Order: sequence, then structure tokens, then C-alpha cells
Amino acid sequence: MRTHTILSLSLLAGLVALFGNAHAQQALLATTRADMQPHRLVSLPAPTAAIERKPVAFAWALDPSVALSQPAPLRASSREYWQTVDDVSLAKGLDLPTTAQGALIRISPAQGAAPLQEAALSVTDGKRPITIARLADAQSLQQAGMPVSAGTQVLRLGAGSGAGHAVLRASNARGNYVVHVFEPASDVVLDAQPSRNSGLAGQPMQVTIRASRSGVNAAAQVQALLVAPDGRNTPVSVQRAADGSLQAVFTPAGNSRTAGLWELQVFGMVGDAPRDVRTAFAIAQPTASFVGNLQQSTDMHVSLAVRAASAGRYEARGTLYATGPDGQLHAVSEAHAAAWMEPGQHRLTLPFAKAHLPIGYGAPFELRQLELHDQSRMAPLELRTRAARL
Amino acid sequence: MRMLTVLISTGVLTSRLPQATRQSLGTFWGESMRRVALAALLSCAAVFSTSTAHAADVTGVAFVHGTGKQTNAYQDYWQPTMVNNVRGGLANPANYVVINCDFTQYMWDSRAAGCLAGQLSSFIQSKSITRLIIITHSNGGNVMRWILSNPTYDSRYPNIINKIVRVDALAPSSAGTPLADAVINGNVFETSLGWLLGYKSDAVRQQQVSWMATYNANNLYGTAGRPSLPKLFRAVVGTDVETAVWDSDSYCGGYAENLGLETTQWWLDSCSDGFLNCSSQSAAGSVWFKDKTKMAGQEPLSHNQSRRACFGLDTVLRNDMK
Repeated sequence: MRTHTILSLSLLAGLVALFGNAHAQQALLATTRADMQPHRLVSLPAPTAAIERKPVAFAWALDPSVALSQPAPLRASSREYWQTVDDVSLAKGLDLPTTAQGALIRISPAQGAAPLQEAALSVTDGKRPITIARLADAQSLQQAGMPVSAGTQVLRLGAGSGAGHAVLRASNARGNYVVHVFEPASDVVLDAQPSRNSGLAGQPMQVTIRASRSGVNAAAQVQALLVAPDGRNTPVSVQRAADGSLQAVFTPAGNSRTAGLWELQVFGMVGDAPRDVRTAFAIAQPTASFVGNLQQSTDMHVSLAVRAASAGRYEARGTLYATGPDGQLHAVSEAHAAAWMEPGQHRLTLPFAKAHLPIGYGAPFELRQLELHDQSRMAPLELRTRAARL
Repeated sequence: MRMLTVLISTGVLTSRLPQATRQSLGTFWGESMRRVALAALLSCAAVFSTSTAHAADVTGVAFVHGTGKQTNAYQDYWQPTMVNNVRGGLANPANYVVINCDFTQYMWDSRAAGCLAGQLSSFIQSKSITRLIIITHSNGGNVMRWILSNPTYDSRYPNIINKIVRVDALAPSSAGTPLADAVINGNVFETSLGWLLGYKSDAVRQQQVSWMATYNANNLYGTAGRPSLPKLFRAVVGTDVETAVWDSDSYCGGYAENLGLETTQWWLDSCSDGFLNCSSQSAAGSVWFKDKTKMAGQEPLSHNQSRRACFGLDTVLRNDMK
């Protein structure tokens, strides 16, 4: 028995020698323009909100027949505009440019303004009345899940409406109101699309703005405002690019006091038609980064060095690609690992699993879509589309 | 973790991996190493072979509400007929939980996903649940998808994910809704209109179309091009709102609520449930079914009706409690 145990232990020691120490260190592949990487790190106070402190790692298998691709940023399209008006304007008659039949007009009392009575609202084309369908009241809209302000009225323009002007009158207005005009049938559109879904404070971001009428590019005059999650806002200059589009290039800075996304809000005129459009993106303070190397172990775990400049909880996530029977790389496993870090250098290990490899799949492998997230500040910090060939 | 590494290195766990995996082991490090390793593993397996006893599976169902702060979602959000009919399909109908959390917060907030994780963990533990079916409605799908997409955010998440067999997402707001944009809206240059009209909840901000697109690209899985979720996430899609005072079907779920959804449809695509475009409901995971294909009389499910016992929805879910 004793001999058997010794033999077994010897065998184990041999295996540990074979597997346990078979770590290979290699550098991450060079980043490309599509990637995001902090150029400098900042030291921020530790987050005050309760955040998980235990290290957690998790991995799951992916279906290799499903191709992955990082989604392009949303191209936001607007057929709508907003105006802030006072009671005097509404009593006199508010001129609302329209480009199509069936515009929806929503009038919302600002804080302290009098709720508008349905019967006190009228719409003309300047001379003749435009029929209006009064839709659900504020309470019904709220019950339907649309949290409009109390006293909001929604009108839908009917016969007599179309391209031109609608004049909205309210006889009992008192205070300020927000008027929202949405033209679902309009062919006049203002688009805005950021160049990426996330960026870093101190690094330039770009939003492309295009106007169109009946699907053809149209000239537009626009102004833009960069709005932080906490409401702080900064005007952003908009330049015309060689291809005729408008480009807003800006460098977000500062640390928002609240969670959420940053927005570029664009206010434009496409000919005589007002259009407002907004687009959102994440902006992170560069609190940590990958050091630039990894170690792979026999159990397919991939360990990454991370440098944290601020205390926080950081997460690495990545997708393992394996070579399939067709000789092509396919995504087979997704792995995440997170831990609390004090400032300094640390490691996160992605627990890819051999069990996730389908029959016929094997080396060479690639680590793709490698990301570093600051979980305590809810922001992506680093993104490497192709991180390593294993 | 260190102990786990040693066990895998010595082959104790590896020897229990399926044949395909053992083959893959070799390809990861090379053929020559594979031969040596497999010979050693076979020896080890003889010494350390173990057997695992499996208890009988215990299936449970959790009802996860949508946007709002619920204190009695059983009565107020789902209503007893829906909950009781669905859980009746379980082998043990007592194995259910109705979640009550504050989903006015961002999905990752401790009062949202944190609260949900706490209640699911307690349910799993107290009922010894081994198979968990999750039924979500509306933004509840996003909170659940946060947990599935971010298993390392909270140490309670992995155990929950491991117990889940599927998420049946009723009308999930996976790609947001233009209605959220309409009420948050920003224009004036002096400030952002959200402040002028009064602050809306973080859940409403989160469900703006461009915000959800960004969260889907940065933080969530299951949408086009992104890695799949670790567990099945399938949507029931509501495609229309029908209201007529003479039609009793219009009263299921509440006539006033459905009337409001008729109005909100004007902000949406031709295919919508009054609150969400069909494209948003279908954006994450897979589509289980569109309302008219399974509902009695081929009735559509408005956004309000897709959380209620309307047109046989409760029966479809009840029959799925396996």
C-alpha cells in the first residue's frame, strides 16, 4: 500500500512538472486603430458605492457556427424636434414647421406651469383649421409605461396637415412648456453616429452627422452639445468633411459625478425643417490597463497582467477562437475574470475550458475581443480586437 | 483556485472530461505532449477514480417584473391568475418566487440586479432548486441579461447562472424604446430637457434606444454579433395593440392601459406592442414565438397583456414548466 502511494505521488509530481509549470509568456499583439487603449492612467478616489470584493471567474461555451463581430455604433435618426416656449407664444400662436402629414405634437408643462386643457388647444395652417385627433391623456400614457409629465397633451394632426406650417394655440397656458413635434411620415432626417461605442477621457471622439431628404444627402446647419451623465454640457464645434458630411470632433474630459452615458446632442435645420438628434457613448477615466503580456497554462487558462492606477474592481473578458475542421478560426469560449485591485500590478486569469472545445477543434487558437472593464465605475477601459495568437 | 489548478494539472478532473475534450487537450499543447499526458492520465484515473451522486432535479420558476419599484408584484404586476396558472405546471407548484425589486434603477444597481440576485439566491437555497426557469417582462429582461452577461460583477451571479435552464423573456426591451427617448428628450441649449421636465428614472434613461445600443455593444451579450449568453434567452414578441370598446379582448389587462398603448404606438414601428418595437423585443437571444402564432384567436399581446393571463399566454408558459 505504502509502495502504491509513493508510486502515485511520483506520478503526480511528474504530471505537475509536465503541466503545472508549462506556462509560456508572450506579448499581446499590437493594437490597431479599431482598438482602444489608455495612453496614461489616472488616480481616482476609491469608489464609495458597495461593490463586490471577492474574485470571480466564469466561462461558457460558444456555438462555433455563429460568427461574432463587434456591432457598429448606432446611427441615430431623427424626424423630430423640441422647442421650449412660454405662455405668451402659445396664446399668440406657435409656428411649427412640418414636412409631412400626421405629425404628433406633445405639449408638456415645465415645472410650475399650468396643465393644459384639451378644449383650449387648436391648430391651424395659418388660415384654416387643421383637424386634430386628441389621443390618450397623460394618465393613460403613464399607465402604458410612458412617463410623461402631468398635464401633458398629445395631438395628432389630421386633414389639412402636411408640408408647411402648423400654428398651435393654447388659450389657458401659464408658464413654460416643452413642445415636441414628431413626424413619423417625414422624409427629412438628421442622423448622428459616433465613431465608436466607447472612448476614454482625454482621447478624441468623433460623431458623423448627416442630413437627408428623400434619402438624398441634404445641406444642414447644426449646433452640437456634449452632455455628461451628470448634466454638465459643453458646446462642440462641427466641421464639414470632404465627403460633405458634418463631423463633430471633441475630447471628453472630467469625471462625471453620476453613472450613465455621455451624449452628443445635435440641433439642426435641414432647410426649413428643424431636427434634433442625440447619440450616446460610454466615456471612461483611464484607471487601469493591460500591461501587455499574457501567460497561458496547460488547462487553457490565460493570465493577463493588469496595471491599476486607481483602487477598484477590474474585469478582463475575452473570446477564445479555435481552428475548426474547415481550417478557419471560430469562437468557442467566452471567459471573464474580475477582482478588486489596489493601485499596482495584478493578474486576472480567464478560465477558458477544454470542455468548451467541440470535436475537431484545436490549435492554433486566438484570443480576441479582449477587454478590460472598470466594474466599479461602469466603463470599458481597453479593447483589443485581436489580442494574441496562442 | 490553487487547489483546482492542481487537480486539473494532475488529471483528476481531466480524466473525467469527455473523449472529445481529452483529444483537444493534446491539440492545445502539441501532439508529443499529448501522448505522454494521456498515458499518465490513465494511470491517475485508476488511482483517483471517483463517483458522483446526483440528487433528483428540483425545478422552480421566478417571475421578474419590468420597470418600476415593486413591493407586491404578485398582486400588482403579474396578478394572481397569471402566477398561479403558470406555477401549476411545475412538479411542485410551491417552487416559485415573485421578485420585488427597484427596477427604476440602472440594471446593474444593487437595488436592481443586486436585489434580484439576492432574491434568486435565497429562493434557490431555500427550495434547493437545481433547475431554474426565469420569466421576465419588459425591462426585467435587461436586468436578467445583465446578470447573464456579467457573471463576475457579483459573486452570487455564477451560482444563479449555473441553475438557470432558460429565460422566457416576455416582450423584453432589449434594444430600448423610442418612448424613453421621447420623454427624456434633450434640446435646449441652456441645459438638458430631462432636467427641465423633471428627472426621469435611470431605468427610463437606460432604455433610450441609443443608450441600449451602447450597453448592448459594451456590457451585454446576446444581440447580433455579440457572444451568446451562457443560458438560453428566448423572447415572446407582442406585435400589435387592439382596442375597441365593443371587443372584450381589449379589456384583458385593462382597457385604459391598452388605450394608452394605442396612442404610444404612434411613436413606434408598424410592428409593436404599444411600448416596444418588435425589433427591440427580438434583439437579444432567440424569438420563442410571436404572439399571434400561439395566442387564442390569433390575438396580439399588447405590452400590458404580455404579463397577464390573456389569450392563453399563461397556459403556454404553464406547459413549458418542464
